[in-house]
Amino acid sequence: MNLAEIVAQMLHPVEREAVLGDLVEAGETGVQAFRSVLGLVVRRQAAWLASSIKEPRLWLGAGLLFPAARLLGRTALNSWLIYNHRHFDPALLAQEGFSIPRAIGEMFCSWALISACVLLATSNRRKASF
Amino acid sequence: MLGEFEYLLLSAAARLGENAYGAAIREEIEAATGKPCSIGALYTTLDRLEAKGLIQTWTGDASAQRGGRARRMVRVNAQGIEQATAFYNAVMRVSRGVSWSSI
Repeated sequence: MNLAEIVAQMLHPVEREAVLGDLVEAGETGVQAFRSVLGLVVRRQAAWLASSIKEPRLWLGAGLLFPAARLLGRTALNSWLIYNHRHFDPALLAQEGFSIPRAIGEMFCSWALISACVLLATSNRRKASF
Repeated sequence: MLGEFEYLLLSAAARLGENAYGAAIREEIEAATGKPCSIGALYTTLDRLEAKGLIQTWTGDASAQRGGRARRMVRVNAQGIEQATAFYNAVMRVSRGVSWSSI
């Protein structure tokens, strides 16, 4: 699979067939073909972004994603600390702000935020434009 | 009112008739303008014209010449012909009495 075919994976399958066929017919190969397909992909993504910019779900999702990512990072660390907490001085952990109930609470918040992001992403009912 | 590139695309598709598809239209436009026509511009404009109801597109047959890949066939609708005619008439009217070679 060449570079143009790899980038073309971002296109709708029907459009991908037509575009790659056009490139074969025009004798475009290598970098030239790659640039042609990339140009179309960029235009498609820009059009999608322009049509989505007024969607509240996009901004809501972006707003949820950042705290969700931070909490997910903390959850990973908390999980490791809960699993290994016997090896640490409880006073030191408490001094660093770690407590098992709080860690479990953060885990639930993280799960809730990630679930909200997934729900937002999967609630998109729009069909492909091609 | 149509855009310049939209008009070029409609004219090329109308000229090609039953043989109008992506690569052929691109070739026609490049031959007419003497400038390269990007696949991105071509396909996004095809989508826009179809959304406006000026053309109809469908998946055509695959051929060995295209590596066994299908074509995106194009047909200009009655509304497309009407809009292209209006554009052409407007250009002709506005060009009347103008001699670009003397400017």
